Order: sequence, then structure tokens, then C-alpha cells
Amino acid sequence: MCSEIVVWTYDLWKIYKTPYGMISALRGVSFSVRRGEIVGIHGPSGSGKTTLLKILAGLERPDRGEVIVDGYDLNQLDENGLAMLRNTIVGLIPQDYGLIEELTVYENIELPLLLARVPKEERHSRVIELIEYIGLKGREKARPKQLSGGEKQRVAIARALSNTPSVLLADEPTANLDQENAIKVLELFKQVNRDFGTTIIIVSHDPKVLDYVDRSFVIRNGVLREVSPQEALGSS
Amino acid sequence: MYFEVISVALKLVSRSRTLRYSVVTSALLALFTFTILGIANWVTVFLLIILENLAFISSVYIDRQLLLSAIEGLILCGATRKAMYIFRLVYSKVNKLVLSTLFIVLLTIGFDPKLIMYWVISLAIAPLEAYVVERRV
Repeated sequence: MCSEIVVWTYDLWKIYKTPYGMISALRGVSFSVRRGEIVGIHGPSGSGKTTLLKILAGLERPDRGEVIVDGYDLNQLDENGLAMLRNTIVGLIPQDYGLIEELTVYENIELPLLLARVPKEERHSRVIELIEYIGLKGREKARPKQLSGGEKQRVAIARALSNTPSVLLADEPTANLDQENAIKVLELFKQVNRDFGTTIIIVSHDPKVLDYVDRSFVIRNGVLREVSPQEALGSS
Repeated sequence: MYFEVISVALKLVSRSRTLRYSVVTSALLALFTFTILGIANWVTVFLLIILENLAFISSVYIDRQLLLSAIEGLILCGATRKAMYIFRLVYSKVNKLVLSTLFIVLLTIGFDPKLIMYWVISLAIAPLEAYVVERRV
């Protein structure tokens, strides 16, 4: 495994104003992930997991602290820079899959390539390759509502992979799936990591995820720390 | 990127329920008014009212959900803020245009005495309909 650091954060803080006062979603989060690693971040609901993912994906900015993803200092990037980051460097798979309901499987996977202005022929071959890769050949014209939860998750993974990002971020990827489909999706992450060398960060409270990660972190009340698999199991 | 988001917006409008209901309503109205007006009766009037309202409700409720899912999807895929602004503008304006086309058709041919009841009922329930839809949204 290459030891190059691909995700690095230092003293990240994120504070939300709510009607009930200020809530610190992240409190001084510092961690790093090496290229090619699969990392799990575990913790209960409301512990700050999704906030951390959104900051790494450039969807939110921290109130304080530093974030570097694949050499890009996110604090230095403007809105267009963060959009470029989401298009080519980071693939985010939200819990609800984030697929566009009226677009087909093919069109959803093609979207990042379309926005990156990849030529049509190249787009076509890449999309077909990805559809075959996720095992949905023959379902190109299906709409998300015609797919099962596991299939939607696969499409979301393929879409996130379309521009071959360095980092894949998955928010509770097994939360809406049964045991069998959850394992298939986790196997797919492992396969993606092996085939493309993609760094993967999985946020989850599902103990099954622990079998597929190289390292585990636990986040509680916005504080992140690295833990052993046994300790992570206790936190899940 | 602007051309790409505009093409996505147009694709989504072309698949929207607003467009489908508007086309069917307009076609039915045109059919009854210009060809077989004689059979336009209460059933026709209610059918048209239902279709027109479905188009309206779709534009503010069902297709709004589609718009929100599209915005989320596009942002995740790396659309810039300016591109998203253009996407929303094109989507909502074209959607409104589709509804306007329906209303223009209704206005042009809706003064026929046999369909005047349609207009009266349609206008009468409009405030209630708007209230219900707004509450749902």
C-alpha cells in the first residue's frame, strides 16, 4: 500500500446555530487517510459523521481548521474549485443515493462525465463499462424507482466512480439494505478499492462494515479518535 | 457546463407530469371544441378540470420533488453554483411556459358556451386548490 496521505484534516470545527442554541457538530477533528486505504468512521446518529463527510466533499466549509484532499486545500478553493473537486476528485454517495428520479440508470451515471464535458463516445464507453462493472447490464434504461435499494446503491457508486475520483465517500451505505444486499455493496467497495486503488471512507454504524475496513475511527459528540476493531464494534 | 445543465433541465421538463397532463388537456379541449363539440358534456367538463388540476398540482408539487432531487444530484456531480442557478431558471421557466401554453389554449377556445361551465367551476375551485397545494408543499 502506498503511504501517501490523500485526506488530511487538522483541528476541524463546525458549529451550527439552532433555535436551541449553538451546536458543535465537529470539535477539533484531526485525522489522515493514506491513498488506497478503506477507512470506517463509526458513531451514533447526530455525532457529526455526515457533517465530516460533507466537509471532505466540499459541500460545507468548516468554521475553523484545515482540510486537504488529494493535494487541494479546501479552504483555498472558491465555489467553482469545490465543484471541480466534487466532479473529479471526490465521489460522494449520500444515504438516500442522490439519484435523479426522472433520469435513467445510464443518464445518472453519465451526469458527472457530461458536466466534465467528456466527449460523447468516451462518455458512452465509460458508462457502459461502469454498468457492466456494477452488474446492471441490461438495466441501462431503468429509472431509479424501478430498482431495488441494493441496485440504487450500485448506481450511486457507479456515478461516483465515473470520473475516477481519488476518494470515495459513502454515507451509511448499508442503512437501507437487507443483510444480503449490504454484504454485496460492501464487497463492491472492496472490489473498487482493489481494482482502481480508490481511497474509501465509509461512515456507518453498521458493525458489518468493520470486516471491510483497514482502520476504524469513532466519532462521538463531534470528537474523532482512531480505535481498534473491537472498540469500534462496541461503538457501532 | 451551462449548455449541459440546460440540456438536463429540458430533458427533465420533457419527462415531467406537468407536460404530460398539459398536452392531454390541451388535446382533449381542442378535440372537443373543434371537432366533436356536440359530445362535450358534464363528463367532459369534469375530465378537463381534473386534467388541468393535475397539471397544476404536478407543476407545484410532484415536479417540485423532481426538481429538488435533480438539484441534489447535480450538486453531487460537481455542478457550479452559477450552473445550478441557470438550471433552476430554465427548469422553472420552461415548466411555467408549458402551463401557460395550456392556459392560452383554454383561453382561446374556452369561451364556447358549451364549455363555459368548465371555466366557472375551474375558476371557483382555484383558490381552494391553491391553498391545498401550498399546504402540501
